[in-house]
Amino acid sequence: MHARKDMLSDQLQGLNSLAIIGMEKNAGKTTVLNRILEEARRGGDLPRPLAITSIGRDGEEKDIVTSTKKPRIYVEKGTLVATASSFLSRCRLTKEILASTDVRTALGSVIIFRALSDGFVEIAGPSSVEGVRSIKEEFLAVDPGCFYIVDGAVSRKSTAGHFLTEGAILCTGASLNPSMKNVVRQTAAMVEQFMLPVAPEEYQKTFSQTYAKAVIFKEGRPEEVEGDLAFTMADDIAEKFTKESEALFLRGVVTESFFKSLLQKVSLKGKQVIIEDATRLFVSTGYLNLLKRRGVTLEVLQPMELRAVCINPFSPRGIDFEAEVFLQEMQKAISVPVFDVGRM
Amino acid sequence: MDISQKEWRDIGGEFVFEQLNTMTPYGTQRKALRKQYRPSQREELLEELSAVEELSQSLQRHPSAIHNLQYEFCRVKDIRRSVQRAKKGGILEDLEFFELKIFCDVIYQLIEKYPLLDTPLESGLLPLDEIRERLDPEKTGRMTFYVYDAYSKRLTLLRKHQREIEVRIAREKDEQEKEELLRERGGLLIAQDKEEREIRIELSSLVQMHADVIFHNMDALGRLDHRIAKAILAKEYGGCMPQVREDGGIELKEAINPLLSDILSKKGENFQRMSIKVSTGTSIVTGANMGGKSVSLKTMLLNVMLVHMGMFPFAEAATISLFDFFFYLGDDLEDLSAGLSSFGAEILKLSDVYRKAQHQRGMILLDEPLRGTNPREGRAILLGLVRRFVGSDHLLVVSTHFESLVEEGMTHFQVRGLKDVDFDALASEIEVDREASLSRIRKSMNFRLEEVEAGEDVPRDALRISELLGLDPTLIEEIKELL
Repeated sequence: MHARKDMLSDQLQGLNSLAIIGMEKNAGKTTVLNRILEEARRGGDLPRPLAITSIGRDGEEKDIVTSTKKPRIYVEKGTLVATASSFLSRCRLTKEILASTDVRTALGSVIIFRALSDGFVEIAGPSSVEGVRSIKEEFLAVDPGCFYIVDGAVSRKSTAGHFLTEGAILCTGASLNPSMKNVVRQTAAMVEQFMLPVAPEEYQKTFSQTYAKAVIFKEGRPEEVEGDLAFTMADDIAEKFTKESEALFLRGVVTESFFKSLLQKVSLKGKQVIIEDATRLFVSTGYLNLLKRRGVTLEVLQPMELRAVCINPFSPRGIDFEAEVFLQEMQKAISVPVFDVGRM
Repeated sequence: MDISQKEWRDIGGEFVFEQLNTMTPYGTQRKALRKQYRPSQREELLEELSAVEELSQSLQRHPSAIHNLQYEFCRVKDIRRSVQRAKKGGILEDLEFFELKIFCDVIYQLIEKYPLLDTPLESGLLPLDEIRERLDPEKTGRMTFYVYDAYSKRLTLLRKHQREIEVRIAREKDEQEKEELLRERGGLLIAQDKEEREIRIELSSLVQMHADVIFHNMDALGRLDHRIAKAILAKEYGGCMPQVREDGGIELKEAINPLLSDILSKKGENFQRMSIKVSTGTSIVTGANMGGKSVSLKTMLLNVMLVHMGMFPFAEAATISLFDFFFYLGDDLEDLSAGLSSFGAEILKLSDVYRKAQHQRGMILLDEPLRGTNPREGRAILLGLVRRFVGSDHLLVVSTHFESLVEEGMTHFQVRGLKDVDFDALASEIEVDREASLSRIRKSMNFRLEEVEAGEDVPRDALRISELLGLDPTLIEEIKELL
């Protein structure tokens, strides 16, 4: 099988927003973003204008952590960009400042500008849930028809939470693990998470009205579980979760060790467990099946359609994968289209 | 502040501050100054209070007009540092011009909308039209900024050329050609940087020219924002325009303390309003336990201090004299130094205020001072102290349980307490519902302070209240024998 020569952006039909999610740093998010931007420029069918930001910082010339040279992001005239104020001077293009938001980052407040020419930009966007939401709203206020693109890495430590988009592209690669088999397996597990069903509408409303880390549903009524500490959460929940409880909502990152701890104390058989979205779950391959066998129905608040998986066979540590084999193995393991943008 | 931050919080001052909603950075800065007007600043204070009164009246006549101004307030960011830099000859950046452009527009909008308030009070705002127009050379009216083509023909040409290259880059498939084009573009960008810099220098010196007017507007804006916040707060909790008097006394009619009022209403209880007239010299407050003496003192102090900060007191009417300083000794003492008992700390504080009172006129409130020592000596020390203030021009109010502290020349206030209460009816109510005995007693309490004869005895409710609260009846009998 050869590398696909069709457009990556063909996979994005019908979407108004897209998250480019890296399973790791150096998974190739920026390359994928640039590819999409280039396809758009060359007549790809995406709504305009594009509105771009990132969670945390990206598009830097050199990745400070691993010292690899990262590609910069080249945007076309008319694109909306949200980046930290100290990065404005690094955006080498004619830019019209549209808004100076109250969203603060370590690199200054986030500024929204419109590109009046083509050019290279560096993006350091919001890193909190509220910040991401705020920026998306600002973009929509400038142009309700814009195509919102956000990129970011999945991380246990990430406080960013929601990407708040309809669609997603998952970026993975050799940087994840030196063994190709492991990378394929881990990626397939994450892909499965994107297939989780959506939680019912009644639950959606409730969760938007609370800040609690966990909420238990009993006879259709919500009960907040107080407590903040990750390692006591399981105990706090176990105290309140009874046979009559129907569903459990968990805000933020949910790990396998948390599940193990919780399942020691309560039975979740026949119960719904709702997490914010597919990127919040950190479990090992096969754990989803285990939960299924235990009768647990796992659902998400925010569904994201995974439209493609992009692979990067290169690793900064020097152990590259054989590109063609990697592509084939990945495609065999998952049902979503796989792309290697480096060879398109 | 004269009193400590803890004491200010205690009397409900911080709560009031937290409810004061300024919407511009300048208003917030002015509020944070926590300015207290001294007697020598009487005229300034009257000006501030009159301004708040004008805005209060406007708020009453046209309640939604102020929303128009507040909408603009929300758009204001703090550009002080940028303007300071420009004043010193620095070159501003695009983001700074962007924020300055918005600032100028806000000033313009406020000047346009201000007449909606229909008030003789002037806004103090001065137009910044020259900057406003210069920052919008293409006259689009849009609240965005970049170094516009319209500023320079050369810039327009450079950008046109840049655009042409970018179109070619977009079409170019050959990587090497692309690199070449990108390099050429790079050269154009550098030429533009130079041109843009010249324009920014020119714009910055325009800002430099008008810097003082901009600073003036920041002050006027802050003042307007702060005063509007005060007017809104007064409306919310029922404030009134106070009269400032000369004779040293104070009078409050139906005053409340918003913090304590909030706390009580959460418990489902009512805050009893307070009316009192106090002259200079010594006033002693006696009264039943749980009689709210502390609340009365705090309410008095809070409202008088608020006036000194240019705010409306929360009362139906108020006449206030101005003081050089305030002093408060409350129910909760801070340890001034490690190892000293609360008695020691109290004496140090009392000694301090006595010294201060020798050359400054103060309002001094003592809430059950010296209760931590033996009553005989405590009373003597307190009596000695309060005698010194009889006939002075200070305003001293002391609440106490000590017997016979009130002498000739002192005013005696007493909490009405349970004087009017039918004890048998109350007792049977409590029989039924022991759990709520405390709150029932409190609900039956009359917290009003009334002036009584100097020699009037300290009320003796303690035993009756103990009975109501269910203290062992045989014990009660024995105690009755003792009294």
